[in-house]
Amino acid sequence: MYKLFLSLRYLRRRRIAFFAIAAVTLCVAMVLIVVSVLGGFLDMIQERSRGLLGDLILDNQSLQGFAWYEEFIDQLKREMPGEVVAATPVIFNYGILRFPDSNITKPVRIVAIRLQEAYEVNDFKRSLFYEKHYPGTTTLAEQQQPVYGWDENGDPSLPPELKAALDNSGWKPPTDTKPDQAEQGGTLGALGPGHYDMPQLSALFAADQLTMRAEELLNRVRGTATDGGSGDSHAPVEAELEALARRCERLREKLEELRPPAGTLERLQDFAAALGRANTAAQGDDAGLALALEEFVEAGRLLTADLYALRRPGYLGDRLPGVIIGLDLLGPPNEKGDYERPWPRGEKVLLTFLPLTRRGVLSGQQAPVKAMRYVDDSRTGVYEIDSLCVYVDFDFVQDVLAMSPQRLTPELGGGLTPARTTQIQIKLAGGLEARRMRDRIQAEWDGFAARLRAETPPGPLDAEIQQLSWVKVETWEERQRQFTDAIKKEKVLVTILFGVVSVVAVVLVGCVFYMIVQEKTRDIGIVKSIGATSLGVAAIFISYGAAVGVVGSALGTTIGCLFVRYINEIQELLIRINPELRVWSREVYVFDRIPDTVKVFDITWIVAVAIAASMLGSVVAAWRAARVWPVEAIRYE
Amino acid sequence: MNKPFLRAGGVHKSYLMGRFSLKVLKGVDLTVREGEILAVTGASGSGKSTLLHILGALDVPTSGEVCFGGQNLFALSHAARDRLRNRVFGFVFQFYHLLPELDVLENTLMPRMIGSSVLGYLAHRREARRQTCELLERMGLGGRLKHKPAELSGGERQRVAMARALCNRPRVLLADEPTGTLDSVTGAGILEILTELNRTGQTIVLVTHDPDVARCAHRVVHLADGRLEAEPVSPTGVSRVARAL
Repeated sequence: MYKLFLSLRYLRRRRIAFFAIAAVTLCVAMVLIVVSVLGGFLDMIQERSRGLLGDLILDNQSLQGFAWYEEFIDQLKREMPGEVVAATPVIFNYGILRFPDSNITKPVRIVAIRLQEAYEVNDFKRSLFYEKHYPGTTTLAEQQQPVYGWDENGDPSLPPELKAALDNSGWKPPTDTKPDQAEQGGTLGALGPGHYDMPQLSALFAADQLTMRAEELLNRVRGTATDGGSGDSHAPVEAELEALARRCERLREKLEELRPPAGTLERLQDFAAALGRANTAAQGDDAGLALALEEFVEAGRLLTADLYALRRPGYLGDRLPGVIIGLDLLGPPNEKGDYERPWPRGEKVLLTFLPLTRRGVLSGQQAPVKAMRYVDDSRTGVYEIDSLCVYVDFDFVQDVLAMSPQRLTPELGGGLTPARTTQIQIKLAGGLEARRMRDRIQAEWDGFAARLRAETPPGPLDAEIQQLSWVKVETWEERQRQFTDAIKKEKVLVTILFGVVSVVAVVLVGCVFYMIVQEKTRDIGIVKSIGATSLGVAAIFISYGAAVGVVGSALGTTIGCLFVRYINEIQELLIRINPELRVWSREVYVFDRIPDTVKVFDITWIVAVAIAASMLGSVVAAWRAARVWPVEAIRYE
Repeated sequence: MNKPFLRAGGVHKSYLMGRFSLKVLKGVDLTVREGEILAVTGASGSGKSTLLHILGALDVPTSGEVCFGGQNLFALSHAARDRLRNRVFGFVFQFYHLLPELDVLENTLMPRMIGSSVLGYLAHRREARRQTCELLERMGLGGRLKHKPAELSGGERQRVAMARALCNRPRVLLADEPTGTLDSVTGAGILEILTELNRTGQTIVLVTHDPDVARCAHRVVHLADGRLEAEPVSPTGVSRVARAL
């Protein structure tokens, strides 16, 4: 009893022990933060990469891919119905993405998928933005651009299919909108998450602004007419008229794309004619210019009213194949970390493909450029993927890249080559051991390839047959090994380094305890003289060490957990003080947020080691205390 | 009173002082009888305290034996001697030797805590505290339970030290110059407590250089040159103390 009593009492009363506690606290917090952040980083990498790969990956690591994949998928499903849940072919290639209304081009990795099958094989669906809010509306098939319109009350409204999908998603309009955001968050916000640059709205705003600007010019012209006029004032009026003409031209382009009723187009012609008259009048007197501008303003008002009355939510434009774009390709996040989508859903983009021949050389034909519709964006959280990948329909890409069956020339005997893919992703049933299944499927493939080799006579399909030998099956972990192994080793290395630093804490605990024993020699003699055993006295200091470890660990764990929990906020604060203090950049560390979870397992082992280390630090002092000879000790006075 | 139960025979004790051996005790034979007050007197440095420490198993003789209940203490294991110090002997030191971090009650309870396991102590905590409070009350320290040693006078500290020594109801109380640092009035108060205790049957071995203190003993032995010179048992020893008070 006295051991516990005295160790707790010494802990409370000896201020010097606070130094030991502080050292343990800092070490525990430090190691916990490092282990949590690096461990979280590793987990995120593993989770995300698994999510986009499937459990097993079968490929030959070449861009021209391999053939007879469909037959093998059928064989897998037939032979292993209980184990293989889903399998889908994927084509990887490279291309160039060009955004509309700009000359921005970006190199991209083209990932050709069968969307519905990809949903089954991995977590791709979870990364999609519009699919989340408008379930079932993201498709890679040919499609038009969805356009928003107006309801009976004059409020913006969605095409019925999108409205139904939005209702299905359970999304609720935001209610915490500030008054000055009422338009954005209220009326437009009711349309659901996404981009609201609706063609009608855009044209309406353009017409409205144009009219207002013309009205301002009219007032100015009237003002100068009243003042008696001045030759100098004509120069800015002319420049303004030029600007109006440019805007008028852009409005015409927008309206033509909308294909409005004939009446609206007539209004536009009136509008343009009035501007033309104003231009002519600008060469002459101000009164003529004012009159022409009045007509222009009137035409603008009528056009605005016309556009407002235009109610046509639906789909516009040519039917083009869909493309899902990695979110970081659309642009970087803003200061708050939110992504502002600069283009509306369904916007036209251009994708340039680089087709390879069966033998793996660039095809002689000119690189095909395909107009496509941006139907959704994908945010996996892995910067390397989100800033590089675009997802296109498998069959479409297969055709464009000449990986679909190709007719052989008569010299080669005619007939068709088999279709090719670059990868097969396989999802296994839950609870199966991936490595064992990898070996089984590899054996299955080897048998499949051997049979094809035996059945196919030498000749035109030699290239395809040769490619089969290189096909290997890997687990998702093996595929990511190079990357994850580096992080695993880094985690171990950093933990060891910080562990070595923590030895300082042990030494400090040792020193503090040695000092306490030195100071308490007389007390040790007293308790021994009244019957305490040497072992008991040693136990006082060992349990004292344990108590220092427990208190230090508790404080360290609290500080460590709070630090990790708010680590992103702390970084934001540091960046606000000085942008140079940013330590976590998503370009470097792949993810945009620093991992901020602490595992109970990590806390447990760190606390256990800290307590053990504190006890170890007190061993020398305890041993010395145990050796105190009571008669010698009580002579101290 | 006449039953001998603590006996030292041929006790030698020497200390190494560099290359020389300092012989402090040179064959001491002493018998302590149950219920008596035995005073050991002698000049300063004559080895009185050393003899007391050896009698209480706090120190080990160079040769010779100390028997309690017929058992040589130094043939016992360390753990058994620790138990004896906790339960059979109670020490009172000249300089009190209280633990400064603990209050009066906690200091007094310390032998109880040492002699009990955590569960054993917690199970009988109330009883132990009640008995210790009563003991301290008898010592006139009822109002000082929560005071730290630094807040007490010399006499009070010595009474706390005595209460601590008596906490486990020892068979023998070993007091080393119990009044050595106290003024005569306070010292007389301490002696009164000792004689009072003796009346209830407590065996006491007292070490002092003060003949007045020795007068309270039933028997006085004098230590000189490492050997004992016995003095006859004084039949009126206790009453002489009473007179001295």
